[in-house]
Amino acid sequence: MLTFAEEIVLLALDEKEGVITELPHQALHAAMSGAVLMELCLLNRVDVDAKQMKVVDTTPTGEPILDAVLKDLQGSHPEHTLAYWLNRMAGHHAHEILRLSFTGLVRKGVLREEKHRFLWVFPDRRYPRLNDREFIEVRARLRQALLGTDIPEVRDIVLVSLLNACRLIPRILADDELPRAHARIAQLSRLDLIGQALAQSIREIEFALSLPMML
Amino acid sequence: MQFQDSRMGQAWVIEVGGRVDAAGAALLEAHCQQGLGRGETRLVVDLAGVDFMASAGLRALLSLAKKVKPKGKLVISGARGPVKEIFDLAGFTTILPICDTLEQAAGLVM
Repeated sequence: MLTFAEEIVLLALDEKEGVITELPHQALHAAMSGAVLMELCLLNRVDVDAKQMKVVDTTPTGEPILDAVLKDLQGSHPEHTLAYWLNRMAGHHAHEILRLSFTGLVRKGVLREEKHRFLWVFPDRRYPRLNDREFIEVRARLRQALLGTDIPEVRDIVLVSLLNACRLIPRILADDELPRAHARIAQLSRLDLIGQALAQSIREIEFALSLPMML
Repeated sequence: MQFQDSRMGQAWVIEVGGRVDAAGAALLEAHCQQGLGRGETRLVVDLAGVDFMASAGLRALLSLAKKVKPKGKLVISGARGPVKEIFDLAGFTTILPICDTLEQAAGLVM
C-alpha cells in the first residue's frame, strides 16, 4: 500500500520526464507536509479540530518519516494551529518526506531511479514509472470517488482533498469531466480539515510567488 | 464518553454524550459496529450530548455511514454549538442527512 505522500508523488510525476514539473517547489513541500499530517491523523496519532492540532498518541508508527515528524510534534507547543504546523513541517521535514517518498516508490517497484548530470556537472535524478499498476489503481479509485455519488472511503476523501489543494485533479479527470465534477471535488475537499488548511497555505504560496510579476 | 441505546420503530437510536475526539471516535465506531454486527441497518446518532468533535469524529461518522449504506441509512441529530460549527466548516450536511431533533431523524432514517 502506498502512503499519501507516495500517491501524490506518483500522480504529480511527468510520465515522460520522470520529474515533478507542474507544482512550484514550495507548494510541493506544503503538500508533502499535509500528506504526512493526514497519515498521522488516520493512524490516530494526531487529532485536528476547527482551531488546532494536537498529538494524542505518541506510540511510534514504524514508518521512519512519520515517526520523525511525530517526535517533532511531541516536542513542540501542543496547541498550535494547522497552518502553523504545515509551515513548520514544510520548512523542517518536507525535503526528507519527498526523498523518502521517491525511495519508497522505487523500493515498491513502482518507479526506477535514473541518475543524470544537468549541464554535465550537477547531479539530476529522474524517476520513470516502472509499471502502471499502482498509477492505474489510484486513478481508478479516485475517478470513482469523484464521478460517483456514494460516500467514498475516508482515504480517498483525504487524497482528493490533497490533490485538489495541489491542483492535481486534472491528472485524474479528463478536461470534459472536470466541469461536471466541480461540485463533487469541492464537497469532498471540504470534508477534510487538513486539506482545507493545506489549500489555504498553497493559495498563499502562489500569491506570494505571483507578487514579483504584479509589481 | 457515554452511549444510551434505544429504539424508535425500526431505528436504532444511539444518544452519545461527551467528547468525540480521537479516543471518543474510536469508542463511537466500536459501539456502532456492535450494532451493525447484530444486523442493525437504520442508525440514528444523536449528538445533543456532545460538546466537542474533532476530525477523527467526522471520519468515524463517514466511515459508519458508508458501512450502513448498502442496506440502510445513518442519520445524525441534535448537533449544536461547536459540533454544528465543525459540521458546517466541513460541509457535512451535503454528504450526510442531519436533523435538528431525534424524532425528525427517526422519521428520515426509515
